[in-house]
Amino acid sequence: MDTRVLVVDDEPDTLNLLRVILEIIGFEPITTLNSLDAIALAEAEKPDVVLLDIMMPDLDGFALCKMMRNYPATRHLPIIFVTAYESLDIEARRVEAGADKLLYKPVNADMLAAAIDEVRAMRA
Amino acid sequence: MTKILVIEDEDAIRANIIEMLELEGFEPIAAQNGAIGVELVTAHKPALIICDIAMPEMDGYEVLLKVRSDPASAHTPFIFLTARADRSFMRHGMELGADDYVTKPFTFAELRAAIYARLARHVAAPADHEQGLGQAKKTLIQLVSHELRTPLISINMVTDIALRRLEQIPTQQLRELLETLERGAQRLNRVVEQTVFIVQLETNALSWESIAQQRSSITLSDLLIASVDLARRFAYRSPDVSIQLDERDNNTRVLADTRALRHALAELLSNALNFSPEHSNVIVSQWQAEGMIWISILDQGPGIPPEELDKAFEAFQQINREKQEQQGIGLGLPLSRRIIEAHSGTLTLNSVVGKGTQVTIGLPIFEG
Repeated sequence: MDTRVLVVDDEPDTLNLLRVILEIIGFEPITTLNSLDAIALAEAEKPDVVLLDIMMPDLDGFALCKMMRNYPATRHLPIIFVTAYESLDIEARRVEAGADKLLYKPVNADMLAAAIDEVRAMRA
Repeated sequence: MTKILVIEDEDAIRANIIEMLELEGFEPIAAQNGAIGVELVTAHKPALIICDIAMPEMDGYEVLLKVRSDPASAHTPFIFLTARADRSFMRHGMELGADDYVTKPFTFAELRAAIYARLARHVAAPADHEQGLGQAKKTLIQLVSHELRTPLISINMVTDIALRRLEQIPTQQLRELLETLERGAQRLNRVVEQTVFIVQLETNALSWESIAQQRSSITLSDLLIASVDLARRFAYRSPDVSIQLDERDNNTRVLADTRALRHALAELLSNALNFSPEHSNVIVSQWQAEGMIWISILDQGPGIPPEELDKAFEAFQQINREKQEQQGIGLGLPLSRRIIEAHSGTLTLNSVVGKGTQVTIGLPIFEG
Protein backbone atom coordinates (compact mmCIF):
# COMPACT_ATOMS: atom_id res chain seq x y z
CA MET A 1 0.00 0.00 0.00
CA ASP A 2 1.14 3.53 -0.74
CA THR A 3 2.44 5.64 2.09
CA ARG A 4 -0.32 8.05 3.14
CA VAL A 5 0.82 11.60 3.79
CA LEU A 6 -1.35 14.20 5.53
CA VAL A 7 -0.45 17.73 4.36
CA VAL A 8 -1.63 20.81 6.31
CA ASP A 9 -0.97 24.19 4.67
CA ASP A 10 -3.15 27.31 4.58
CA GLU A 11 -1.93 28.42 1.12
CA PRO A 12 -4.17 26.76 -1.50
CA ASP A 13 -1.48 26.87 -4.21
CA THR A 14 1.23 25.43 -1.99
CA LEU A 15 -1.09 22.73 -0.66
CA ASN A 16 -2.13 21.75 -4.15
CA LEU A 17 1.43 21.68 -5.33
CA LEU A 18 2.59 19.48 -2.45
CA ARG A 19 -0.29 17.13 -3.28
CA VAL A 20 0.73 16.88 -6.95
CA ILE A 21 4.40 16.37 -6.12
CA LEU A 22 3.59 13.64 -3.60
CA GLU A 23 1.38 11.92 -6.19
CA ILE A 24 4.14 12.05 -8.80
CA ILE A 25 6.66 10.43 -6.46
CA GLY A 26 4.25 7.70 -5.45
CA PHE A 27 2.72 8.78 -2.18
CA GLU A 28 -0.96 9.05 -1.34
CA PRO A 29 -1.64 12.61 -0.15
CA ILE A 30 -4.49 13.73 2.11
CA THR A 31 -4.76 17.51 2.34
CA THR A 32 -6.38 20.26 4.36
CA LEU A 33 -6.12 24.04 4.32
CA ASN A 34 -7.46 24.30 7.84
CA SER A 35 -5.18 23.40 10.73
CA LEU A 36 -8.21 23.07 13.00
CA ASP A 37 -9.39 20.09 10.91
CA ALA A 38 -6.04 18.34 10.95
CA ILE A 39 -6.43 16.17 14.04
CA ALA A 40 -9.89 14.92 13.08
CA LEU A 41 -8.63 14.21 9.56
CA ALA A 42 -5.62 12.33 10.93
CA GLU A 43 -7.86 10.24 13.14
CA ALA A 44 -10.21 9.42 10.25
CA GLU A 45 -7.64 8.87 7.50
CA LYS A 46 -4.81 7.34 9.52
CA PRO A 47 -1.86 8.77 7.58
CA ASP A 48 1.64 7.34 7.89
CA VAL A 49 3.34 10.75 7.92
CA VAL A 50 2.26 14.36 8.54
CA LEU A 51 3.64 17.46 6.78
CA LEU A 52 2.84 20.70 8.63
CA ASP A 53 3.22 24.30 7.55
CA ILE A 54 4.15 26.59 10.47
CA MET A 55 2.65 30.01 9.74
CA MET A 56 -1.06 29.30 9.71
CA PRO A 57 -4.03 31.26 11.07
CA ASP A 58 -6.07 30.04 14.04
CA LEU A 59 -3.65 27.30 15.00
CA ASP A 60 -0.02 27.49 13.91
CA GLY A 61 2.15 24.48 13.13
CA PHE A 62 3.97 24.52 16.48
CA ALA A 63 0.70 24.47 18.43
CA LEU A 64 -0.86 21.87 16.15
CA CYS A 65 2.20 19.64 16.50
CA LYS A 66 2.05 19.87 20.30
CA MET A 67 -1.64 18.97 20.20
CA MET A 68 -0.93 16.00 17.96
CA ARG A 69 1.69 14.79 20.40
CA ASN A 70 -0.88 14.92 23.21
CA TYR A 71 -3.60 13.14 21.27
CA PRO A 72 -3.62 9.33 21.34
CA ALA A 73 -4.45 8.82 17.64
CA THR A 74 -1.64 11.11 16.44
CA ARG A 75 0.89 10.80 19.28
CA HIS A 76 3.27 8.46 17.45
CA LEU A 77 2.94 9.84 13.91
CA PRO A 78 6.10 11.04 12.18
CA ILE A 79 5.73 14.82 11.75
CA ILE A 80 7.73 17.08 9.42
CA PHE A 81 7.51 20.86 9.37
CA VAL A 82 7.60 22.23 5.82
CA THR A 83 7.93 25.97 6.08
CA ALA A 84 9.16 29.25 4.68
CA TYR A 85 9.19 30.63 8.22
CA GLU A 86 12.60 31.66 9.44
CA SER A 87 13.74 32.42 12.93
CA LEU A 88 16.87 31.79 14.94
CA ASP A 89 15.07 29.65 17.49
CA ILE A 90 13.17 27.55 14.97
CA GLU A 91 15.17 24.36 15.66
CA ALA A 92 14.57 24.70 19.42
CA ARG A 93 10.89 25.30 18.78
CA ARG A 94 10.69 22.28 16.48
CA VAL A 95 12.13 20.08 19.23
CA GLU A 96 9.87 21.63 21.85
CA ALA A 97 6.81 21.07 19.66
CA GLY A 98 7.84 17.44 19.13
CA ALA A 99 8.28 17.43 15.33
CA ASP A 100 10.80 14.99 13.88
CA LYS A 101 12.23 17.08 11.06
CA LEU A 102 12.17 20.47 9.43
CA LEU A 103 12.29 21.25 5.71
CA TYR A 104 12.47 24.71 4.20
CA LYS A 105 10.33 25.71 1.24
CA PRO A 106 10.88 25.43 -1.62
CA VAL A 107 11.18 21.68 -1.14
CA ASN A 108 11.83 19.35 -4.04
CA ALA A 109 10.59 15.85 -4.65
CA ASP A 110 13.85 14.19 -3.61
CA MET A 111 14.04 16.12 -0.36
CA LEU A 112 10.45 15.20 0.45
CA ALA A 113 10.90 11.53 -0.36
CA ALA A 114 14.11 11.30 1.66
CA ALA A 115 12.63 13.12 4.65
CA ILE A 116 9.51 10.95 4.66
CA ASP A 117 11.62 7.78 4.62
CA GLU A 118 13.88 9.16 7.33
CA VAL A 119 11.12 10.08 9.81
CA ARG A 120 9.27 6.82 9.19
CA ALA A 121 12.45 4.92 10.00
CA MET A 122 12.91 7.02 13.17
CA ARG A 123 9.40 6.22 14.40
CA ALA A 124 9.33 2.61 13.24
CA MET B 1 13.78 70.85 34.49
CA THR B 2 10.26 70.92 33.09
CA LYS B 3 9.17 74.47 32.29
CA ILE B 4 5.55 75.39 32.99
CA LEU B 5 4.17 78.75 31.96
CA VAL B 6 1.46 80.31 34.16
CA ILE B 7 -0.60 83.09 32.56
CA GLU B 8 -2.85 84.62 35.22
CA ASP B 9 -3.70 88.27 35.83
CA GLU B 10 -4.63 87.87 39.52
CA ASP B 11 -1.39 88.26 41.46
CA ALA B 12 -2.40 86.10 44.44
CA ILE B 13 -3.51 83.14 42.39
CA ARG B 14 -0.46 83.37 40.11
CA ALA B 15 1.89 83.47 43.11
CA ASN B 16 0.20 80.45 44.69
CA ILE B 17 0.47 78.39 41.51
CA ILE B 18 4.13 79.38 41.06
CA GLU B 19 4.89 78.30 44.60
CA MET B 20 3.13 74.98 44.15
CA LEU B 21 5.00 74.30 40.89
CA GLU B 22 8.34 75.06 42.56
CA LEU B 23 7.51 72.66 45.38
CA GLU B 24 6.74 70.00 42.80
CA GLY B 25 10.15 70.52 41.23
CA PHE B 26 8.98 72.25 38.05
CA GLU B 27 10.52 75.41 36.62
CA PRO B 28 7.64 77.91 36.64
CA ILE B 29 7.52 80.97 34.38
CA ALA B 30 5.00 83.68 35.24
CA ALA B 31 3.07 86.01 32.95
CA GLN B 32 0.62 88.60 34.32
CA ASN B 33 -1.27 89.03 31.05
CA GLY B 34 -1.97 87.28 27.76
CA ALA B 35 0.39 89.31 25.56
CA ILE B 36 3.39 88.65 27.81
CA GLY B 37 2.30 85.03 28.03
CA VAL B 38 2.39 84.57 24.26
CA GLU B 39 5.88 86.10 24.09
CA LEU B 40 7.11 83.83 26.87
CA VAL B 41 5.78 80.78 25.01
CA THR B 42 8.01 81.68 22.04
CA ALA B 43 11.00 82.55 24.23
CA HIS B 44 10.91 79.62 26.67
CA LYS B 45 9.09 76.80 24.85
CA PRO B 46 7.40 75.55 28.03
CA ALA B 47 6.38 71.90 28.35
CA LEU B 48 2.91 72.94 29.52
CA ILE B 49 0.83 76.12 29.71
CA ILE B 50 -1.66 77.01 32.45
CA CYS B 51 -3.79 79.96 31.40
CA ASP B 52 -6.63 81.94 32.95
CA ILE B 53 -9.58 82.61 30.62
CA ALA B 54 -10.97 85.90 31.95
CA MET B 55 -8.21 88.45 31.51
CA PRO B 56 -8.36 92.06 30.32
CA GLU B 57 -7.13 92.89 26.79
CA MET B 58 -6.05 89.47 25.57
CA ASP B 59 -8.20 86.74 27.09
CA GLY B 60 -7.36 83.06 27.41
CA TYR B 61 -9.03 82.04 24.15
CA GLU B 62 -6.94 84.49 22.18
CA VAL B 63 -3.79 83.25 23.92
CA LEU B 64 -4.75 79.70 23.00
CA LEU B 65 -5.35 80.58 19.34
CA LYS B 66 -1.98 82.33 19.10
CA VAL B 67 -0.19 79.44 20.82
CA ARG B 68 -1.83 76.87 18.55
CA SER B 69 -1.11 78.81 15.37
CA ASP B 70 2.65 78.64 15.98
CA PRO B 71 3.91 75.22 14.86
CA ALA B 72 6.50 75.25 17.67
CA SER B 73 3.76 75.30 20.31
CA ALA B 74 0.86 73.80 18.37
CA HIS B 75 0.97 70.64 20.48
CA THR B 76 2.03 72.05 23.86
CA PRO B 77 -0.41 70.83 26.52
CA PHE B 78 -2.71 73.71 27.49
CA ILE B 79 -4.81 73.86 30.67
CA PHE B 80 -7.44 76.54 31.18
CA LEU B 81 -8.23 78.04 34.57
CA THR B 82 -11.83 79.16 34.70
CA ALA B 83 -14.28 80.46 37.25
CA ARG B 84 -17.17 79.46 35.03
CA ALA B 85 -18.08 75.83 35.23
CA ASP B 86 -20.81 75.60 32.60
CA ARG B 87 -20.30 73.01 29.93
CA SER B 88 -20.77 75.09 26.80
CA PHE B 89 -18.14 77.47 28.03
CA MET B 90 -15.70 74.63 28.55
CA ARG B 91 -16.54 72.99 25.27
CA HIS B 92 -15.66 76.18 23.47
CA GLY B 93 -12.19 76.03 25.01
CA MET B 94 -11.74 72.37 24.13
CA GLU B 95 -12.83 72.99 20.55
CA LEU B 96 -10.19 75.65 20.24
CA GLY B 97 -7.62 73.08 21.23
CA ALA B 98 -7.27 73.25 25.00
CA ASP B 99 -6.36 69.94 26.59
CA ASP B 100 -8.01 70.37 29.98
CA TYR B 101 -9.53 72.89 32.33
CA VAL B 102 -9.49 73.39 36.08
CA THR B 103 -12.30 75.35 37.69
CA LYS B 104 -11.67 78.00 40.31
CA PRO B 105 -11.53 77.68 43.19
CA PHE B 106 -9.34 74.61 42.83
CA THR B 107 -7.24 72.63 45.25
CA PHE B 108 -3.58 72.06 44.47
CA ALA B 109 -4.34 68.37 44.22
CA GLU B 110 -6.73 69.05 41.33
CA LEU B 111 -4.28 71.26 39.46
CA ARG B 112 -1.45 68.88 40.16
CA ALA B 113 -3.45 65.93 38.80
CA ALA B 114 -4.32 67.86 35.62
CA ILE B 115 -0.67 68.85 35.08
CA TYR B 116 0.70 65.32 35.47
CA ALA B 117 -2.05 63.81 33.36
CA ARG B 118 -1.36 66.22 30.50
CA LEU B 119 2.42 65.90 30.72
CA ALA B 120 2.19 62.11 30.77
CA ARG B 121 -0.17 62.01 27.81
CA HIS B 122 1.98 64.42 25.90
CA VAL B 123 5.05 62.27 26.42
CA ALA B 124 3.12 59.10 25.66
CA ALA B 125 1.53 60.31 22.45
CA PRO B 126 4.60 60.34 20.17
CA ALA B 127 5.66 56.96 21.56
CA ASP B 128 2.30 55.48 20.58
CA HIS B 129 2.64 56.96 17.15
CA GLU B 130 6.10 55.49 16.68
CA GLN B 131 4.88 52.14 17.86
CA GLY B 132 2.02 52.31 15.38
CA LEU B 133 4.42 53.07 12.56
CA GLY B 134 6.73 50.28 13.65
CA GLN B 135 3.84 47.84 13.64
CA ALA B 136 2.67 49.08 10.22
CA LYS B 137 6.17 48.61 8.80
CA LYS B 138 6.39 45.14 10.26
CA THR B 139 3.00 44.21 8.81
CA LEU B 140 4.02 45.60 5.44
CA ILE B 141 7.25 43.63 5.41
CA GLN B 142 5.43 40.45 6.40
CA LEU B 143 2.73 40.93 3.79
CA VAL B 144 5.10 41.80 0.98
CA SER B 145 7.52 39.01 1.76
CA HIS B 146 4.66 36.53 2.04
CA GLU B 147 3.06 37.71 -1.19
CA LEU B 148 6.36 37.64 -3.09
CA ARG B 149 7.71 34.46 -1.56
CA THR B 150 4.67 32.22 -1.81
CA PRO B 151 4.36 32.38 -5.60
CA LEU B 152 8.13 32.23 -6.03
CA ILE B 153 8.24 29.09 -3.91
CA SER B 154 5.53 27.56 -6.09
CA ILE B 155 7.38 28.47 -9.25
CA ASN B 156 10.62 26.99 -7.91
CA MET B 157 8.93 23.77 -6.86
CA VAL B 158 7.15 23.33 -10.18
CA THR B 159 10.21 23.96 -12.32
CA ASP B 160 12.30 21.69 -10.12
CA ILE B 161 10.04 18.65 -10.43
CA ALA B 162 9.28 19.32 -14.11
CA LEU B 163 12.97 19.47 -15.03
CA ARG B 164 14.02 16.48 -12.95
CA ARG B 165 11.15 14.11 -13.59
CA LEU B 166 9.50 15.23 -16.78
CA GLU B 167 9.19 11.67 -18.16
CA GLN B 168 7.49 10.46 -14.98
CA ILE B 169 4.78 13.10 -14.82
CA PRO B 170 1.32 12.02 -16.05
CA THR B 171 -0.54 14.56 -18.20
CA GLN B 172 -3.11 15.43 -15.53
CA GLN B 173 -0.39 16.24 -12.98
CA LEU B 174 1.60 18.17 -15.56
CA ARG B 175 -1.46 20.29 -16.25
CA GLU B 176 -1.91 21.00 -12.53
CA LEU B 177 1.76 21.93 -12.22
CA LEU B 178 1.46 24.35 -15.12
CA GLU B 179 -1.68 25.88 -13.65
CA THR B 180 0.15 26.45 -10.38
CA LEU B 181 2.97 28.04 -12.34
CA GLU B 182 0.50 30.32 -14.10
CA ARG B 183 -1.20 31.38 -10.87
CA GLY B 184 2.16 32.05 -9.24
CA ALA B 185 3.23 34.23 -12.13
CA GLN B 186 -0.09 36.10 -12.06
CA ARG B 187 0.20 36.71 -8.35
CA LEU B 188 3.68 38.15 -8.77
CA ASN B 189 2.48 40.17 -11.73
CA ARG B 190 -0.23 41.74 -9.61
CA VAL B 191 2.19 42.80 -6.85
CA VAL B 192 4.55 44.22 -9.47
CA GLU B 193 1.70 46.16 -11.14
CA GLN B 194 0.53 47.49 -7.79
CA THR B 195 4.04 48.65 -7.00
CA VAL B 196 4.35 50.35 -10.38
CA PHE B 197 1.07 52.23 -9.92
CA ILE B 198 2.00 53.33 -6.40
CA VAL B 199 5.28 54.73 -7.69
CA GLN B 200 3.46 56.49 -10.57
CA LEU B 201 0.92 57.99 -8.16
CA GLU B 202 3.59 59.08 -5.69
CA THR B 203 5.62 60.76 -8.43
CA ASN B 204 2.55 62.30 -10.07
CA ALA B 205 3.25 60.45 -13.31
CA LEU B 206 -0.27 59.12 -12.83
CA SER B 207 -2.45 62.16 -12.21
CA TRP B 208 -5.44 63.95 -13.69
CA GLU B 209 -3.09 66.47 -15.34
CA SER B 210 -1.16 63.76 -17.16
CA ILE B 211 -4.33 61.86 -18.10
CA ALA B 212 -6.05 65.00 -19.42
CA GLN B 213 -2.92 65.89 -21.36
CA GLN B 214 -2.71 62.47 -23.02
CA ARG B 215 -6.37 62.71 -24.08
CA SER B 216 -6.49 58.94 -24.42
CA SER B 217 -10.04 57.66 -23.93
CA ILE B 218 -11.81 54.31 -23.78
CA THR B 219 -15.44 53.28 -24.10
CA LEU B 220 -17.08 52.05 -20.96
CA SER B 221 -17.86 48.64 -22.44
CA ASP B 222 -14.23 48.05 -23.49
CA LEU B 223 -13.06 49.16 -20.06
CA LEU B 224 -15.46 46.83 -18.23
CA ILE B 225 -14.72 43.82 -20.43
CA ALA B 226 -10.97 44.26 -19.98
CA SER B 227 -11.42 44.76 -16.22
CA VAL B 228 -13.53 41.63 -15.83
CA ASP B 229 -10.89 39.62 -17.69
CA LEU B 230 -8.12 40.89 -15.42
CA ALA B 231 -10.26 40.41 -12.31
CA ARG B 232 -10.71 36.73 -13.16
CA ARG B 233 -6.95 36.40 -13.16
CA PHE B 234 -6.58 38.29 -9.85
CA ALA B 235 -9.28 36.34 -8.06
CA TYR B 236 -8.08 33.16 -6.41
CA ARG B 237 -11.55 31.71 -6.23
CA SER B 238 -14.20 32.64 -8.73
CA PRO B 239 -15.17 29.90 -11.18
CA ASP B 240 -18.57 29.44 -9.55
CA VAL B 241 -19.37 33.13 -9.40
CA SER B 242 -20.63 34.89 -12.49
CA ILE B 243 -20.22 38.54 -13.29
CA GLN B 244 -23.38 40.03 -14.71
CA LEU B 245 -22.79 43.10 -16.86
CA ASP B 246 -26.13 44.88 -16.94
CA GLU B 247 -25.84 46.49 -20.34
CA ARG B 248 -23.18 47.39 -22.83
CA ASP B 249 -22.48 51.03 -23.35
CA ASN B 250 -20.51 51.43 -26.57
CA ASN B 251 -20.92 55.19 -26.73
CA THR B 252 -19.86 56.60 -23.41
CA ARG B 253 -16.14 57.28 -23.18
CA VAL B 254 -13.94 58.23 -20.27
CA LEU B 255 -10.46 59.75 -20.31
CA ALA B 256 -8.17 57.11 -18.93
CA ASP B 257 -4.76 55.77 -18.30
CA THR B 258 -6.27 52.51 -19.53
CA ARG B 259 -3.86 50.16 -17.78
CA ALA B 260 -4.26 51.89 -14.45
CA LEU B 261 -8.04 52.26 -14.61
CA ARG B 262 -8.45 48.66 -15.74
CA HIS B 263 -6.28 47.59 -12.81
CA ALA B 264 -8.36 49.65 -10.37
CA LEU B 265 -11.65 48.15 -11.56
CA ALA B 266 -10.15 44.65 -11.66
CA GLU B 267 -9.07 44.95 -8.02
CA LEU B 268 -12.62 45.92 -7.05
CA LEU B 269 -14.18 43.15 -9.16
CA SER B 270 -11.79 40.53 -7.82
CA ASN B 271 -12.65 41.58 -4.26
CA ALA B 272 -16.30 41.08 -5.14
CA LEU B 273 -15.53 37.63 -6.63
CA ASN B 274 -13.42 36.52 -3.69
CA PHE B 275 -16.05 37.45 -1.13
CA SER B 276 -19.02 36.04 -3.06
CA PRO B 277 -20.75 32.85 -1.95
CA GLU B 278 -20.64 29.96 -4.44
CA HIS B 279 -23.04 30.11 -7.40
CA SER B 280 -23.88 33.76 -6.77
CA ASN B 281 -23.71 36.76 -9.09
CA VAL B 282 -21.64 39.89 -9.01
CA ILE B 283 -23.82 42.54 -10.61
CA VAL B 284 -22.18 45.39 -12.50
CA SER B 285 -24.54 48.19 -13.43
CA GLN B 286 -24.09 51.68 -14.80
CA TRP B 287 -25.98 54.93 -15.18
CA GLN B 288 -25.33 58.55 -16.04
CA ALA B 289 -25.99 61.60 -13.93
CA GLU B 290 -24.53 65.09 -13.69
CA GLY B 291 -21.93 64.60 -16.41
CA MET B 292 -20.60 61.51 -14.69
CA ILE B 293 -20.84 57.84 -15.52
CA TRP B 294 -21.55 55.78 -12.42
CA ILE B 295 -20.57 52.12 -12.13
CA SER B 296 -21.81 49.93 -9.33
CA ILE B 297 -20.27 46.59 -8.38
CA LEU B 298 -22.56 44.64 -6.09
CA ASP B 299 -21.71 41.33 -4.44
CA GLN B 300 -23.68 39.03 -2.16
CA GLY B 301 -20.76 38.45 0.20
CA PRO B 302 -20.67 38.61 3.99
CA GLY B 303 -20.48 42.41 4.02
CA ILE B 304 -18.17 44.62 6.04
CA PRO B 305 -19.15 45.66 9.58
CA PRO B 306 -19.56 49.47 9.91
CA GLU B 307 -16.61 49.73 12.31
CA GLU B 308 -14.32 48.13 9.70
CA LEU B 309 -15.55 50.14 6.75
CA ASP B 310 -13.18 53.07 7.34
CA LYS B 311 -10.25 50.73 7.80
CA ALA B 312 -10.96 49.17 4.41
CA PHE B 313 -9.33 52.15 2.73
CA GLU B 314 -6.18 52.00 4.81
CA ALA B 315 -3.25 50.46 2.99
CA PHE B 316 -2.16 46.98 4.03
CA GLN B 317 -5.37 46.27 5.91
CA GLN B 318 -7.06 43.03 5.26
CA ILE B 319 -10.41 42.63 6.83
CA ASN B 320 -10.63 39.21 8.39
CA ARG B 321 -7.58 38.07 6.51
CA GLU B 322 -7.44 34.87 8.46
CA LYS B 323 -11.06 33.94 8.06
CA GLN B 324 -11.27 34.70 4.37
CA GLU B 325 -7.94 33.15 3.35
CA GLN B 326 -7.20 36.24 1.38
CA GLN B 327 -4.31 36.73 -0.93
CA GLY B 328 -2.69 40.00 -1.73
CA ILE B 329 -1.17 42.65 0.43
CA GLY B 330 -4.33 44.54 1.30
CA LEU B 331 -3.68 47.23 -1.27
CA GLY B 332 -6.59 46.58 -3.61
CA LEU B 333 -9.11 49.02 -2.24
CA PRO B 334 -6.85 51.94 -1.26
CA LEU B 335 -4.93 51.69 -4.53
CA SER B 336 -8.14 51.52 -6.57
CA ARG B 337 -9.43 54.61 -4.86
CA ARG B 338 -6.23 56.53 -5.56
CA ILE B 339 -6.21 55.50 -9.22
CA ILE B 340 -9.87 56.47 -9.62
CA GLU B 341 -9.27 59.79 -7.89
CA ALA B 342 -6.38 60.40 -10.27
CA HIS B 343 -9.05 60.07 -12.99
CA SER B 344 -11.01 62.86 -11.29
CA GLY B 345 -13.43 60.22 -10.11
CA THR B 346 -14.88 59.02 -6.83
CA LEU B 347 -15.18 55.68 -5.09
CA THR B 348 -17.59 54.91 -2.27
CA LEU B 349 -18.23 51.74 -0.35
CA ASN B 350 -21.55 50.65 1.13
CA SER B 351 -22.02 47.42 2.94
CA VAL B 352 -24.66 45.56 4.88
CA VAL B 353 -23.46 42.67 7.01
CA GLY B 354 -25.08 39.47 5.81
CA LYS B 355 -26.26 41.04 2.56
CA GLY B 356 -23.29 42.21 0.56
CA THR B 357 -21.11 45.08 -0.45
CA GLN B 358 -21.59 47.71 -3.12
CA VAL B 359 -18.77 49.73 -4.58
CA THR B 360 -19.82 52.79 -6.54
CA ILE B 361 -17.41 54.49 -8.92
CA GLY B 362 -18.05 57.82 -10.58
CA LEU B 363 -15.98 58.98 -13.56
CA PRO B 364 -16.35 62.16 -15.63
CA ILE B 365 -17.80 61.47 -19.07
CA PHE B 366 -15.44 62.41 -21.91
CA GLU B 367 -17.30 64.37 -24.59
CA GLY B 368 -14.20 64.50 -26.85
